Amino acid sequence: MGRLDGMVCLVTGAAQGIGKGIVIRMAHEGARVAVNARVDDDRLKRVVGEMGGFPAPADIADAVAVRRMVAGVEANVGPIEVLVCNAARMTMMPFLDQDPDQWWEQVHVNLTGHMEVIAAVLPGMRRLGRGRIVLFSSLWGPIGWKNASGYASSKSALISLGRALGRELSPERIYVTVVAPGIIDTPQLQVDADDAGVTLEEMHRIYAENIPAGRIGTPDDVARAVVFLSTEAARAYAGQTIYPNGGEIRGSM
Amino acid sequence: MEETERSSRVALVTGAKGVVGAAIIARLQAEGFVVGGLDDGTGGGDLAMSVDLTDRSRTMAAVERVAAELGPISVLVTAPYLHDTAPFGEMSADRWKRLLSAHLGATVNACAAAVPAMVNAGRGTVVTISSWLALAGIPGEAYHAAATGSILAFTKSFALEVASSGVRVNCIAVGPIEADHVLPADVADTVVFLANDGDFFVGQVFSAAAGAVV
Repeated sequence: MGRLDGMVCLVTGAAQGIGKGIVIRMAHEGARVAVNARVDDDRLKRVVGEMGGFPAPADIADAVAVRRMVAGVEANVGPIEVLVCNAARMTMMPFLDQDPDQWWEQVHVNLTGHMEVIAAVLPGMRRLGRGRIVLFSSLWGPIGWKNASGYASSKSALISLGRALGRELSPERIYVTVVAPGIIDTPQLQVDADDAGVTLEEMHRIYAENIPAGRIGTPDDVARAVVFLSTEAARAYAGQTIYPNGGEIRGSM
Repeated sequence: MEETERSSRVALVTGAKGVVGAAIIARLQAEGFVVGGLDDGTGGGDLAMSVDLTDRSRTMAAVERVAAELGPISVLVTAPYLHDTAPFGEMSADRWKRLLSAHLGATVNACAAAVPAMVNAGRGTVVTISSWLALAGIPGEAYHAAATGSILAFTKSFALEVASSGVRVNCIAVGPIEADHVLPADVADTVVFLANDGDFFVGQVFSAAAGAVV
């Protein structure tokens, strides 16, 4: 028996990478997973096809599309008990060189977009009388990163959003938590390798050298943490951020 | 495959008699672990032993016996629970020494006894239990905050020393159980999560405080 048997879960940004890993793990645990992606393309169809999930395409930066998507999941799959806010956009660029619209787009999607998703999902969770919301920050949120000022700003804000909503919604048995992954094996690594002018294998090695665990993470490392936070145990961690990063960041965290 | 692997696993819990330690033992047993439970009192689990955990050599001997009778220890949970409090300046040197030994001393002794075999095996999970008092400033709790806070500091450094050997060390800072905010079962669930699914967590502090500390 899975730990999420029959639970309706909505995962945003799930056509690839960590989001796809979460869908796979949640389905393995018995969940009925609604798979969100920005566009209804072959990648989304493949994930849904492999996992037996439900397609829920929508650009989360589009509030109208988000409300339509959530209503569709509720009508066709059932009341959403777990929401995973994973979708994100990132543009690496020196702060002064970046077009302001491009800078703000990351905040609009990563932060404001998920505020729209949460607002659309909350009334249903209230009717259900319970829920879990897992927000995705990033290693680069709390520590910052060169040429990632927009992305880091948005991801840091998600930690604060999690703290505030954690306090606000706990009394209603809706537990909000945050996951801030470190370096994870996703298609982003190829982008990083291209930027650094090295091969993908070299990129893996370079990253792993700085990780006490001796390896970069897998999407499933993160997905297992999300499953944990999708269970009732999340109540102990309302408002908290957890850091699957192999020990890479240290300090006050 | 995972099920067979788990059913043969051995866990060691120190502070077995405490509310949190007892909940952890019950949960680990439900997961199929065979558990040795050490305590200054009667202990608990499948092999209950009474031992002075602040005594290094006695702790070493007890842990050796657990490994000999139950098998190689793959999960260690240190769960000290002595609570002693006094306004700063009003705790005698002996009382303070006793409090610090019960928390940091017992934690360090259990790690010294159980972790070398994990390092040799190339895998293992260690979960140290600290308190929300270590994270939050509470008037009148300076001694207890210092005693439990030292466990956070120890955990972070120790975790990095053994990470490359495949041993994962993390800490749970337990929130105010008394106020019924945090249930011992939630702490126990976290231990099981770290043992089964927590390989990419190194030297982290899980603040199981239900919003009391973020």
